[in-house]
Parts: sequence; C-alpha cells; structure tokens
Amino acid sequence: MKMNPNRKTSSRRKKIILCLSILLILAVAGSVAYLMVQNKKDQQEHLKAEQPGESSKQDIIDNTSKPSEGLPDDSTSTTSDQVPTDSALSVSITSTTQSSGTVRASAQTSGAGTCVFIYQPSDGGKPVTREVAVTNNTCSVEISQNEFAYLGQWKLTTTYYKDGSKTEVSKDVTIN
Amino acid sequence: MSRSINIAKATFAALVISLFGLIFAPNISHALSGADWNAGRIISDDTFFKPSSMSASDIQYFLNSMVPNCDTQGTQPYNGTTAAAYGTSRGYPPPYTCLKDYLENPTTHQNNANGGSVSGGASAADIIKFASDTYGISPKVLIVLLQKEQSLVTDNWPWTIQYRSATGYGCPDTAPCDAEYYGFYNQVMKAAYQFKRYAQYPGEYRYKAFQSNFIQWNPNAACGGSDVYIHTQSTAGLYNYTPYQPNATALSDIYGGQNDGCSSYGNRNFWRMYSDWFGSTLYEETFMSYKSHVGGVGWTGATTNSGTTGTTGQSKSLEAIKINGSVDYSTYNYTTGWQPTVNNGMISGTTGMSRAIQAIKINPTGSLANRYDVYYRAHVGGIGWIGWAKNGETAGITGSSTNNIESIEVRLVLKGYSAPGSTSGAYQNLGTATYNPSASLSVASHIGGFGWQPTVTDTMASGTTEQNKQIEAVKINLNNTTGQTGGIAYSAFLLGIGWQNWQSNDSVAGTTGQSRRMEALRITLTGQIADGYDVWYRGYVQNIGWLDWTKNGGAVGSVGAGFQLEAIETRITPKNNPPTTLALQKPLHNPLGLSMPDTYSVVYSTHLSDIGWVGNTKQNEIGGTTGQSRPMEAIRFDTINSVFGSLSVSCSAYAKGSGWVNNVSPGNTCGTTGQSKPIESIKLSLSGDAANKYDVYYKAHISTIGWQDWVKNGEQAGTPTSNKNIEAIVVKLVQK
Repeated sequence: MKMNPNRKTSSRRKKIILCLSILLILAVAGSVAYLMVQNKKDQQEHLKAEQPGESSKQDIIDNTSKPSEGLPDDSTSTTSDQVPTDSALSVSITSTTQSSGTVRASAQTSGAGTCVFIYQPSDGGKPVTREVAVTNNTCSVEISQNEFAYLGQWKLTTTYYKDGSKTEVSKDVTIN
Repeated sequence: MSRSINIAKATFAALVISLFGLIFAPNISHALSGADWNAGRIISDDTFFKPSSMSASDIQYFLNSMVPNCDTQGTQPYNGTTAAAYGTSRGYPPPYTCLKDYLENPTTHQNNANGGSVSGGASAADIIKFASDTYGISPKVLIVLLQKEQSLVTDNWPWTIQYRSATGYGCPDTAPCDAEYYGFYNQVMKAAYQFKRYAQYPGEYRYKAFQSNFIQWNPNAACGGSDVYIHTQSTAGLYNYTPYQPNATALSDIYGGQNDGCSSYGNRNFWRMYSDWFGSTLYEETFMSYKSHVGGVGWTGATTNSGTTGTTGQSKSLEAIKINGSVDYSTYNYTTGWQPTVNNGMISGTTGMSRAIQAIKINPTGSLANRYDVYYRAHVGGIGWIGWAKNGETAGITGSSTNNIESIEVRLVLKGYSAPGSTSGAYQNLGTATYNPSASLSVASHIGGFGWQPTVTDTMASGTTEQNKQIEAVKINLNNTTGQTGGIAYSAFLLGIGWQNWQSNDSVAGTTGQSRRMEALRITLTGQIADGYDVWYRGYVQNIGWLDWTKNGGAVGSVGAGFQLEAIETRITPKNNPPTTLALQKPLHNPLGLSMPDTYSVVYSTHLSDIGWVGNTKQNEIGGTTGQSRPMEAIRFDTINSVFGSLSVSCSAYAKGSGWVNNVSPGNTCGTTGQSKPIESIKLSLSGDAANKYDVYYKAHISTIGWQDWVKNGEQAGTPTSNKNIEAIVVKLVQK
C-alpha cells in the first residue's frame, strides 16, 4: 500500500524535529560540561598560582636566611634535648616587660651565637617562639601581645647556642 | 517505525548522558572574593569539629589528587637551576617526599621526609585521621592548616623543615626544636590538641566567641585593627592560633599577596583554601531552631542552634517558646507552674494570657544529644543574666511573681567541652506553683509525618504552628474535680468523610495511618458540668493562623477551603467567661458557605421477604434490596447515645392489610414479620432531649417506581394502600 504523501511529509517533519531536539540537548549538555570544567580549571589555576612551590619555598628561604651562628650542624633535624649542654656558656634573662601591646625579653650571653626564646603556657598549649642572633652579648625579642593566646602564667626559656652547644635559663612571666 | 524507535533511543541516551555529566561534573563553587570574607564567622563549629568528614582513605585520595607527580629527585627548573641544586644549596638536598608518600614512626619519629624506609611508619593520611579522631577536629581543617602553614599539601618537592614545622607549632625557624613539638606527627597532634583546648576552655584564651574582640590587622600594633563579634567557637580558635585578621588590602585580592605594610594572610588563607577545596566553611546542620512569644509584641524571628531570643532592657516578658529540632522542653509560669513537656515546635507557655515564663528546661535528644550539650540561661527582669543550665536542668527563678524571663540564650557545646560561662545560680527555687483547676482538658494531637504528640493541658496549644503539618486525630480527656458529673465529647470533620461520630474520654477522633487531614473540630461538655461550665476552643488553620474562639459544640477550623487544621487550643471556664479574643477571623473558615451536615450514625435492621432480618445497616447505607422485587416487611432501630442528651428514632409503618403501626420505639419491630405483609409507607421522627438538634432524613425505594425524594422528620415516604411496596430505605441523621 502506498503511503499518503501528506503523512510521509508529516512523518519526515517529526523526525527532523526530533533530530533537532537531540542536537539541542547535546549542545546544552556540552556547554554546561564545558563551563563546569572551565570553572574548575580556573579554580585550580588560582590555587596553582599562589600556593605550591615557589611562594612556600620563598617563605622557607626567608627563614633559612636568618643568622644561625653557633647552632649545631643540621640543627633543623635535631631536637634541643639532643644538643649538648656546655657549662662554659652562660645566659641570663635580664628583663621581661610588657607594654603597649608588646611583650619584650632580653638576655645576656657569654658571647656570640643564637638565642631561642620560648614562652610556654602553663596549660601545655601552643608556645610562642622566637629565634634571634646575639648582638654584643645581648639578645632581645619583641612579640605582639596578641600572640599570647593564653593569658596568665607562662614560662620563658631562653636557650643560648654557640659552637653546636647550648645552655638555657627559665623564668616565669605573667602575660596579661 | 524502527527508525522512530532508534531516534527515541538516541534521545533517551542523550538525556541519560547529559544527566550523568551533570551529576558527576566537578563541583562548581563560585570564585571567592574578599566580599565573601566574614571576620566573625570564618568557619562554623559544625564544620570545624567534625572528625567524620573524611576517612583515612578519603584523606589519602585527596593528597594524591593534589600532587599527581612528586618531583622526588628535584629535576624541575627552579630559580635558574634545578630544584635539587637549589635545595642542596640551602641545606635540603633530594630526595624529596611529598605529603601523600610521607611516613613517620609516631614513637621514634623516624621518617622518610628525606627518603629512606621507615620501620613502623604511619602515613600522613593516617596521622591526620588519628589526630582528627583523637581531638574531634575535622581532617579538612588539619589539611588546610598544613597548607596554610607550610604549603605541604600541594608542594611537589617539600623540604624536611616543612614537615618539622608542619603546623607552625612551637619550633624555632632554624634552631633545634623541642622534642615535644618536633616532627610531623607531633605538629599535627599538637595543633589538633590546641584547637580542642581553645573550645574546651574558651574562657582562658584571649579571643572569645559570642562577644566582641579587638583583632589587629597584623603584629604591628600601630597598624590597628577592628572590633569583631566572633560568632563561632572555632573562629575564636583560629584567632587564638593566628591572632590577626586580613585588612582591606589583603582582601582586595584574596589569591594574591598585596601588602600595605599592615596586611596579614593566615586566617584569610585558611578560609580561602578550605572554601576552594571543600566548599563553604559555613555549613551548619540545624539541630534546633527556636522562637519566643514576647508579651505585647508577638513571636520573634527564629534563632538557629545558638543565640538569644527575646529582648533585654525593654521590660518585656517571654510568654511562650517553641523549638523545632532534637529537644524536649518545658516552661514554668507563676500561675500554672510547670507545663507538660513538649517537642517538635509545639508551643510551650501561653499566648494572650499575660503569663510570663519564669523558668525553662531544654533537653537534647537524638543526634543533638549525641554530639552536643545544650546550655541555656535566662535573662530575668530586674536581675539580668543568671547562670547557665544544661541538658534538661532548670534555668530561671520560680516562686515570685516578679522574676519573669525576658530573654533566653542557648549554646550548643560539643560534648566534653566546658560551659560557656558560670553555671552557678542557674535556678533559684523560691517556691513552686501547682495548678489544680477544678475542670481542665488534656489534649493530644496526632500530627501528619510525626505521630502522637505529648499530651498538653488546656491553656496550651496542641498541634503545631508555622510548620504546615496537619492534625489527623485528637484525643481529649476531662479532668473534673468540680463535684458535678459529666464528661467531654468531641467530633472531627475530616477530608472526604465529613463529621465523624462523637468520641469521649480519650478515644480517638480522626484517623491515623491514612494521611487524612482534619479540617474542623467541635467539643462539648456533657452531663451536669455543662450547666456550670463552658468549653472554649479555637483552631490554627493552614494559610490563616489562629481563628476566633467558639464554645460548646460549635465548629472550629475550615470547610471547603482545602485547609488543614494544624493546632487547637482549649479552655474550660465557668459559664460566660470567654477567653481573651485576639483573632478577627470567625471560628470556622467557610468561604463558600457550605453546609456541614452531621453524618451522625444511625443503625437499623430491616426484615425482608423470604430472607428475614438483615442487621447493622448504617447511616447512608441501603437497608433492603433493589431490583429484586423483594418487599421490606419491618424495620428496627438501635438506641442512639447522643452527646446532647437522649435521642431515639420513632417509627410508624403502614403494613399492607394491617394499617399503620405508630411510634415504635428503638429495639422494637416497626412493621410485621412472618405475615408476608409488605410495608407500603413509613414515617420516622426523633424524640428525646437532643431531638431538636437533629433532623432525620430518609428516602424509600418503591416497587415499579424506584427511589423517591428525601423526606424528613415524620413526613411520609411511600404511599399507603397503593399496592406498591417499599423495597429499600436509606436513613441519616443530620445536625440542624
């Protein structure tokens, strides 16, 4: 039986509409997927640009550029208890003050080298630490009071390093 | 045809592929900008204190994805040479170990940061997870901390010193580190421990949540800072760990390092990195949401999880509270004492009665109780804030008419953490009121999607408001010490059913398990007590709110509007003492003026030719037969127990060849049996005390004619001496 030409045309039109619909759906889906991937890529570019490698290494470079006279070899891989104490070395805390939002400490040493000031809170929490080079047998630190999260009693330990050895002294201080 | 099918298949496939692509495409989060920064709410507590947010394998997978290729030998170009050469010149030669491959023995701290094997080594992912679980901190937080402090997560050639100071915890820059802090394991454990301590003992640290704190822009005090109200404990913890906030310059490009000499980046970077990797820092599960009703003002807006509700300094008392979420709660007022414990957004307290809340108890349940302690305290008029109570303890002062609560503050505190403030004096008991009214109601509602609510007394609302939950059934009981006999009866108007039978004494009116909404309700006192008291009640209707009060059998709710009844409130008062009326709406919302016929059930039996008695025919059902040419010979009605008093159907029947049998009372045969005498006509009427409250309608099916029209109240159905038999009958009672 021969198909009615009008019906045939109508059927063809339906198929064309269906094909166009499929193309439209695929185009929309493709665009959405592209935008999503692009967005993610942008995000990753942001992260890449700022975070990895260079910027972090720059921070470390800044740190390692600090004077480290008198510290033991490979001191960053050493714990302080592994450094021998030398009774010939001496260090004394000469002042601890707090004013205008700044906590200050000074120590007198028996020579050149490096001082490490560690304020340890009595609750066993996060210490505040500073490392400075000795100048004219004196080392001093100024630390923003804000960094002392725990208000009250802290133990200040000043460790003096010279020629791969150390000596240290402690004092209780009140931060408020 | 097959081509069409192919096209259809292709279309379907395209749709599936599109959907698949949409579901599994990378997460889209809009790029952050400085405008998104909130100094007082860097991260929510729910996000921060969630150790379950990642498993160890999740962490490992994440670390792998961040550094697909680790430059172990430092072959990449760096600073004009190679990474290896540069690192060696600074004292950090290869091999380099990326975080995803890092191993450390937690006891000896032997590690592979500079290559080599490790005996008994735990992976970085395992260490992070262990610290997270030990101290209740989200692994995501610890991962971001490692990136923020040392870029360890994305670095593909990290130096050993980055592991040594992984979380910036207590090691000097280049000098030997205290053994307690040395190494990746100690760094991660200590940092997690510290964050827990900040939350555990918040009063001991400089930056405190739920108050304003001055926070500097950077360590130089001369740069200044700003006051920041810290909204979460975890945000306070971040400031205690890194005590600076970014200034405008640091926020102008949150991915850059613009510095005007007063900029800092630590907390900004934490927030940005977390958001970029894991989504919003501010997700917070809603454990509870609460509102209070302030005298002379009305309901406040909702507060979620933690915060205050009510007012201070305005001498306005709280009268009611409602809490959605995993808690039970109860309030106390000077007049009636403690009200029944309620839950799920029910109203505790009263509205429109000028009764101030003086004490409150809030008890966590379910998932909330597993994770948090719920602390709350009261702001009492003339006194101020008093101590914190927790987990069902009493907060407030009872026994004096003056100690009204004006505001309530709630805090969710992680289990095991300390109270947000002093707990002394949370409750003072100067005396406790007891309330024994001579007549009151106990009401319980069955709520769609929830079930039976706790029973409340009158003066309280049963059901819910503002939650779009339908009442499906109620149970009401009368507490009667008046010395007068009597009871309570109530009837529900249901979708698709209409009025149900009257119920009494805590039996169920409405339905359960059918998701069928109640649209209206009526309540009445019965017996002697009805002579001296009125029962008042009002309904809270969907899309409308509270309607006006009605009493003694009147309908409250709606009809014809498609609205559900969501709450009811009841009172029993001596005669002619209506409750204070606040609503302008009529008690019954009936926009179409529809009648609400009472489908009060009448039950009867019919005696049919060649069959005999057929019993238990109910209201609106057909008694008898049609299309069988089978005459009905008698009818017999059961007794009716009306809440309005005695009620019975009297019957008169004309039996063929016998004439009228008049005014047959219930239980007796109206017509004849065993005589083959069809009924040709029937008249029904009501008698008794409640007869004036109802109409009895009935219609008859006549042989060779069919159904006649309805007649009522003694009118004649069928025709005597017509030789046409009544074959069937339908009877119903309708409230006038």
